[in-house]
Amino acid sequence: MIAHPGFVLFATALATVLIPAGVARQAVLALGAASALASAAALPGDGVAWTAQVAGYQLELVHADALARVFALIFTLIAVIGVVFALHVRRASEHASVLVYAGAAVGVTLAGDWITAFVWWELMAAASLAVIWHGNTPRTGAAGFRYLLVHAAGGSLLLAGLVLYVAGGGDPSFDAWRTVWSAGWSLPAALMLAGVAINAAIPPLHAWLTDAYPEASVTGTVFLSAFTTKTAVYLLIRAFPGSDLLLWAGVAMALYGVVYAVLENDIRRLLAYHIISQVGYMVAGVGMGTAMALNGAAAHAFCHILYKALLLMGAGTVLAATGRRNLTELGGLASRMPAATALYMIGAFSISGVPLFNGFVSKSMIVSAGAEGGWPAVELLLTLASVGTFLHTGLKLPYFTFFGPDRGIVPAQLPRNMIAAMTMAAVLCIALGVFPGWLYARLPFLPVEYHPYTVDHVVATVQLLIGTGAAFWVLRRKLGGEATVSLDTDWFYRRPLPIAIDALVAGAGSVGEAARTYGRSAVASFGRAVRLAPPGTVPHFDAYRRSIGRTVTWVLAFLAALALIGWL
Amino acid sequence: MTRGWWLAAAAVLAGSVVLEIAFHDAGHSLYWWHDVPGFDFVYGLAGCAAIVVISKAIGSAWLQRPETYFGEDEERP
Repeated sequence: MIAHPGFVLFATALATVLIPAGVARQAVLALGAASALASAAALPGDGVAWTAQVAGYQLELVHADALARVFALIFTLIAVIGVVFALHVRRASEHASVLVYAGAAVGVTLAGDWITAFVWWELMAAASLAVIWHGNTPRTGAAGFRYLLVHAAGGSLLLAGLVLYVAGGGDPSFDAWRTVWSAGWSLPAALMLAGVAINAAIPPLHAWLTDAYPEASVTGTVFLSAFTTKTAVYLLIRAFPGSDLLLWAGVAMALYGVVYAVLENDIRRLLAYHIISQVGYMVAGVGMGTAMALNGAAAHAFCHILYKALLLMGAGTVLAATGRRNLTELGGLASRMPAATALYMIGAFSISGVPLFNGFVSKSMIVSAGAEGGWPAVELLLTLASVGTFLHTGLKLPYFTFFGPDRGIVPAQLPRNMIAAMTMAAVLCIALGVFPGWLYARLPFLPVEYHPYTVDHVVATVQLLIGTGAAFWVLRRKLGGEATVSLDTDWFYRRPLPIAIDALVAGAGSVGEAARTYGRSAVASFGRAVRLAPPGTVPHFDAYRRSIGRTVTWVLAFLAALALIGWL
Repeated sequence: MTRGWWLAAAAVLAGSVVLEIAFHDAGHSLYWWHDVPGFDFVYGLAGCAAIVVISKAIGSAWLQRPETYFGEDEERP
């Protein structure tokens, strides 16, 4: 007997809505999330459980292999941490939407076939939109709508590919798909990959992420950073391993986020650009397709979820305590927010791959897989992206927010649960960095023959960080935030597309107007030609009408003629 | 304070280069830069400078716009 962790989270969501805000609801939230984690940890080994026969297709609701289990584990683990971070939130609907979102993400990882995965995938999109709309910035509504449209398009691409595949006699199970994908590209594969690539935020299909995530609530953003892109990474590992296209898309992604992060002023949007950069490592690992690279992608997803949540929690506490989100308005908070600063820095060291923190043991696995797989350029470019990561999340953001020029900001007192959740994530970031064996034993391809703590490796990393730090210090005055927005690919649907739609509507309107004007004069000419209108009258439709009696007579005569013809 | 940090960084860097030379494992070198002592320091320094300069140039020439660029419609909740 197994308990599906997704349904445990759904039950918790339902209970949250029914129980009024207070200690009882907080207890149910924490217990529910912890139970989901326990049920994910207790998932059985390889094998299919919970099957259903629907419309002639064998659906596998739970197919828990090592890859599914490691993702289910981290998804439920971050649900626990995220729930603790949000315990003080009183809106039941916000708790319910994040729990449904988390449950749907777990559902994708445990699905054994494309059809089941697609249903969870769409539920995840809907729930994540609800999470975004619980934000309260002036841009939340519009950004949410754009998020909805992009994800509806992504879901449609995935569905179109799936329908073509199944209609062509394809078996929707992932086991069968593996042979289809290894045989090469096909139209269904291309469509499905495009649908998944949108969720993985692969440029140019990524702008929804940096548009919408920073507009969610302080607590909601933590969940958003964990699930959508990482379920996409999971599906890429599961269904699309080994592709040069993904390898180079991943490398480009890792650097793309870095460039934008230089220009970004909003601290949560800066971190969102680094989600794209970090997911780039994972996508590159999927593209390499070797056992070590795929293990690296899974391990990096696991570690990334923890440290990125920690970083966004840190940025969230700054926003919650000061109401400010731009680097140009922040500074000198370290002495007034020491706990948040220290915990944020643990996340920053982790994402930067500092030895003894978890990013070191997972990121280096992908970079080494690139080097060993015969891609020297990949090794150098991913290392360059790593420089950018330390520059932004480890140096620029903390310098201008916590250290650097003091602006005399007095932060509000934070709820204790926020610091508690950050502490949980920070402890795990360090624990995995010090004891990577625990994570390595849970990776999909065993045994893992990778040793991150070699002298060469540690020394190289330390040198890289010192070099980056030195350059930052020299150039720090160029790096202060600027009160600007940076154009990204969302420009296409935020600027030209609305103009095109407005032009289309205006064009249709003028066609209608022209038709009315010319139609009226055409009727007038016709009327004059058949001498219906009294000469000299104003051309008006009523002027050409016959009396109702005559009209009825003519209609009846016409019908009688038709009937006569029909009878003859 | 700053001077102390520079000295500490220099000391760690020097130590790392010594370690790199002493414990160099040629069996793990795949490409020439794995054999150059201090390569990663130079790569970090030059890479970081390049990222800042190139990104700023792209930003000011092409990408950066005033915060109100997307207009007032954006401000509707």
